[in-house]
Amino acid sequence: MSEIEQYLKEAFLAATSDQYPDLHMKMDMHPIINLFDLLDSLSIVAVLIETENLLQIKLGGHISLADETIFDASKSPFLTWSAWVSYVNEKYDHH
Amino acid sequence: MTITSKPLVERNMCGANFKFSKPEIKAIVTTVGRRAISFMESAESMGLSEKEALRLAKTLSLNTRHVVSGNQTTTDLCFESAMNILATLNLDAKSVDALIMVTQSPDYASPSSANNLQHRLGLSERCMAFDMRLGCSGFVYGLSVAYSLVESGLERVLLCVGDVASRLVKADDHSIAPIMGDAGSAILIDSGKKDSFFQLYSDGSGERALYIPNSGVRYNEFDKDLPCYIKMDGAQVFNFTLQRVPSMLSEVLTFSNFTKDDIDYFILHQPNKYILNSIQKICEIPDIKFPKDTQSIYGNQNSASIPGTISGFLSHVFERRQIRSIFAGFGIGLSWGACMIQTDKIYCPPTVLQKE
Repeated sequence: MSEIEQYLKEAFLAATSDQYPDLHMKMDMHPIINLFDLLDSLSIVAVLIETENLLQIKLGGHISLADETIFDASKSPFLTWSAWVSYVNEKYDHH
Repeated sequence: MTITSKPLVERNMCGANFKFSKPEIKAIVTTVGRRAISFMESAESMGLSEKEALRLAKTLSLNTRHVVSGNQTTTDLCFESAMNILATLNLDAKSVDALIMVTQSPDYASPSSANNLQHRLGLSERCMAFDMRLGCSGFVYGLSVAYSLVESGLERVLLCVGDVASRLVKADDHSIAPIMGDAGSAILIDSGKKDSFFQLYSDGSGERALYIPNSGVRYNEFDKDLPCYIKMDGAQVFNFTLQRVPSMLSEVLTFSNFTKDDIDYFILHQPNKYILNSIQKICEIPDIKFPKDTQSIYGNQNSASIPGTISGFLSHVFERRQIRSIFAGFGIGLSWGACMIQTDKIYCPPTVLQKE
C-alpha cells in the first residue's frame, strides 16, 4: 500500500467509522464495493474534508478534491476504493 | 437603454453578457432575523443525537443562524433595511424611481410584494414596483435589472432582496432546516459614472434539483403528498456549483478585462463553507479576498447572501474606500450569474438585527 493510500484509508475511516462502523470490514472483503451507493452525501463530503486536511498535514499544501464528478453516479471516484485512490493520486500529481 | 452584447459566436459559451457605464451602488443595509439559533442547542429538537449533530456541525461548519419570529416576512426585513437607508442618508422617499423586490417568499403569490413595500416606504405612485422570483442568484439578477433601469434613464432605484427561508423548510427537517437563515437587504443604486459587467445564466433542466413542490398551480404525480417545503437534491446542487461557478468567475474576469489581482473581493453566495473553500482553491483566490463565514453565523441568506456578506464582514471596508468586487450568485433554477462592480465609499453599516 502506497503512502498516499495509507493516508486515504486513515482519513476514510475517521470520516465514516461513526456512521458506518462495519464499512472497513466490508471493504476488506469486497474491494470493488460501490462506496458511492453505500455512503450518504454528507459522509462523502466528510471524507473529502478529512482527506484534504490529512493530506495537508502529512504532505503539505492544500489539494482540493471536490469537483463536478464527485456526486455523478456514473463518474464518481467513490464508485470503488481503487477509483478513489487513483483519483486522489491524479489530483496530487497535478498539484 | 444601452446594453452591449458580446459577439454571437461566443454566446453559447458565455451566456447573456452586458455592461453598463452609469449605475453606482450608494448604500447597502442588511437586516437579519432577531432570533439567533445555536445549531447544537437546537439539534435535539430536530431528532439528532449529539454525535450526529457534531458530525453535521463539523462537516457543514454549522454554528448559528438568524431567523424571524412569528409572522414576520421578507418585506418586514427589507422594509427595515430600506428605511434605514432613506432615514440615515436623509433621502426623500419620492426620489426613488423604481423598487425591485427579489424573493421566493413573498407576502402573497399575488400581488407583488414590491407594491406593499412601495406603499409602506412612502414611495411615489410614479415609482415602478415589481417582484422577481429568484433565489440564490437573485441579487446579481436583480442588480442587473436595477442597473439596466438606471442606464436607461432612471436616477434612483431601490433593490430589495431576501427571504424568510426558515418558513420554507420544515422546522424539524435536519437535512435542510439547520442551514437556512432569514435576511432582507436593501441596496440603493443611483445614476453616476461607473463601469460594470454582468453575465447571467440559466438551466431549467435542473428545475427539480432545488424546488418547492406543490407551491404553484402545477400538480405532478411525483409531487403527490409531498409537503410544500424546499426540497433539495444536495448532490446535484454540489455538482452544478463546482461545474459552473469556477468557470463563471474566470469568464466574468475575462469579459471585464480584469485579472484576479485587480479584484479586491470575490463575494459569492454563501451556501456552506466547504463548497466555498473548494471554489476558492480551484480558482486560486487568496483567503483575504474570499469571505466565506456568512452561512456559519447567519445561515444561508439566499438572495441576500451577497449583500449580507458585505454587511456582516466587510462593512468597514466598503464604507472607507473604493472597492472593485466580483459578485456571484448560484442556485435554484438552476440559475447563476456574476458581475464585476466598482464602488466608491458607500453607506454600509454592519448587519442590523430586526427590531423587536
